[in-house]
Amino acid sequence: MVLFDHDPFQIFQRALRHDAPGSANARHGRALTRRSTEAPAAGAVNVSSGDEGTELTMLVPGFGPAHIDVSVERAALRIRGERDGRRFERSFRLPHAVHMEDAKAQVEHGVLTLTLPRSDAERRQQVPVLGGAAALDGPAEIGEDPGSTA
Amino acid sequence: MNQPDHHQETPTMTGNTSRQEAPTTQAQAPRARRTPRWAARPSDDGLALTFDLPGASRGELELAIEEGELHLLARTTLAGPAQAASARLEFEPFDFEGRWALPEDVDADAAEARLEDGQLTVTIPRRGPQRRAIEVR
Repeated sequence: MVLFDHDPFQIFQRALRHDAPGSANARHGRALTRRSTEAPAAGAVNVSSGDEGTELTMLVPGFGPAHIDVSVERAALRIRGERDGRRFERSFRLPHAVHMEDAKAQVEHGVLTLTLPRSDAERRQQVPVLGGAAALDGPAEIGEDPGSTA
Repeated sequence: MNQPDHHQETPTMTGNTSRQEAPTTQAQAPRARRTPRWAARPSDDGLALTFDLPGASRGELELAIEEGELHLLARTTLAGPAQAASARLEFEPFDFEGRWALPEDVDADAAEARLEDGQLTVTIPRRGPQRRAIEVR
């Protein structure tokens, strides 16, 4: 059934034709629609990792909180989405294990943001070094204290 | 119009760590403008256009039909990576802009638009039959 005299995809071709120099669009003097400047596809990510953990931003237009599933198993991250037959799945290997209690996932206006803190077990932590006097005053917590028999 | 748009390829690493709170208009360098991914679907009622606009909210979206062209401009909340060491960088911060010439037999005055989860649907009904019978008394 033909509903339109114009093939819908001619819309884009017409738009492209307007990009020619001297065209109506060019006379308006504004940025023009061009194929080379097309936005990245849904599912595109930015991932950055550092000492604190990993931040991930994914473009998920059309998907809300109810349509997205995020799971982490050790350092394996999996993001899945499904809505009205549209679905996507991407997996990532993180450079660290995740402290799940502080992990956050938020989706707003079709952008998914993940905050995945590095697990404490992998985080470098300082051990305070005590002087001799403090070591004598404080109770020994590791092993047996042979001098404690009064 | 052979003005190079090399600025669109310039990474805008703002070093802004408060990603959530960064206002969209704050960027010093001009943000890249990208044409949204789109699809057209004719229906019984008219034409349904779907545009992927991740990061765009209703208040930051300008939409108009002018001289048979659909104009779209949407500022987004997309920001640069929060940390300098990027493991994977598949896009830079950008806004959306595009214009599309519409078929002539659609009724722009009756167009409706809906933005949900970063996806815009524009519905434009087909204009009724141009031929109208005139009653003769």
